[in-house]
Amino acid sequence: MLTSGHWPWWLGAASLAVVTVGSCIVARRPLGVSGIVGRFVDLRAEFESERRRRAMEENEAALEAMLLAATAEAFGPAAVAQEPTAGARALPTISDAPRAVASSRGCGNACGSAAERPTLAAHAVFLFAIVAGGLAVQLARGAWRPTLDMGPTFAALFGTGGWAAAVLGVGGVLVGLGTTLSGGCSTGHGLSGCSRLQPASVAATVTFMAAGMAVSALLEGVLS
Amino acid sequence: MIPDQAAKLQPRCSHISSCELFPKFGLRGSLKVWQTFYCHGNFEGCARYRSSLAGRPPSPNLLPNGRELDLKLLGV
Repeated sequence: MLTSGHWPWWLGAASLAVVTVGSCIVARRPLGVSGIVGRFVDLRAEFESERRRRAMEENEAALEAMLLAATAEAFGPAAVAQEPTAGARALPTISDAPRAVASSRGCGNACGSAAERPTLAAHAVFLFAIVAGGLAVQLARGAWRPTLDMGPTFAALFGTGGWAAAVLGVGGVLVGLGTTLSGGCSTGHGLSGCSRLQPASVAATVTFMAAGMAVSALLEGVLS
Repeated sequence: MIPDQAAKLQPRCSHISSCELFPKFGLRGSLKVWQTFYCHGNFEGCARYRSSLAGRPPSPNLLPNGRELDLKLLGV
């Protein structure tokens, strides 16, 4: 069943739920594919951010002192007046924060809100696994073949040659543009955002679902 | 109104789950003022939130008030 035809809707829904919740538990952050892809658009900035992040993690005592100084600067010296002097270790350190905050909040509240940002390498593996998983299923079905055929409606409108490739390219650019404008893709808004009842995600999901249905109905109407 | 109820009615930044600085503001009593003022209050005024909305991932050392921690002290 898993390698022939489409999955039944309930199995697909359960699988998406497992992926969404599983990602939240393992990575301690909501799943969003477009955000991950976006990290690879400006690699120079990503490497610079990783360098800064590493320096902050490796110098936690200095980071604490800098944060306290910044707090005093932003909110006034009185804001840090009660803080223990440097060197007092009775309080947890910055490095203890992820575990401590996650244990007090739980994943259900803020998706383990204290997780560290996954490295670029980890996200590269994630993207590779998405492609590899899809390819593996198609190979198992014996159905893998490079094609521009996106289905009978698409083929009837645009064919399967160069024109189809151009339309797919334009469509891809529009998807990227829409994803950037709306701050997320179908995964981020539809799965992660809606499951957390984020108003912006609900609005975005309703909009792109309605637009998709309207365009499908329109194209079917044109062809009939 | 008791404090817990008041806290539940506070606006809450939707980016808390992915913000790198949020947990760092969570343990030291003095640092929690950032969470109170921005994360659970004026999050729309947070430079990190605004940067994300503009499609630019915030720098790890960008503070909510728009200032950046000077990482030269950490050798960067």
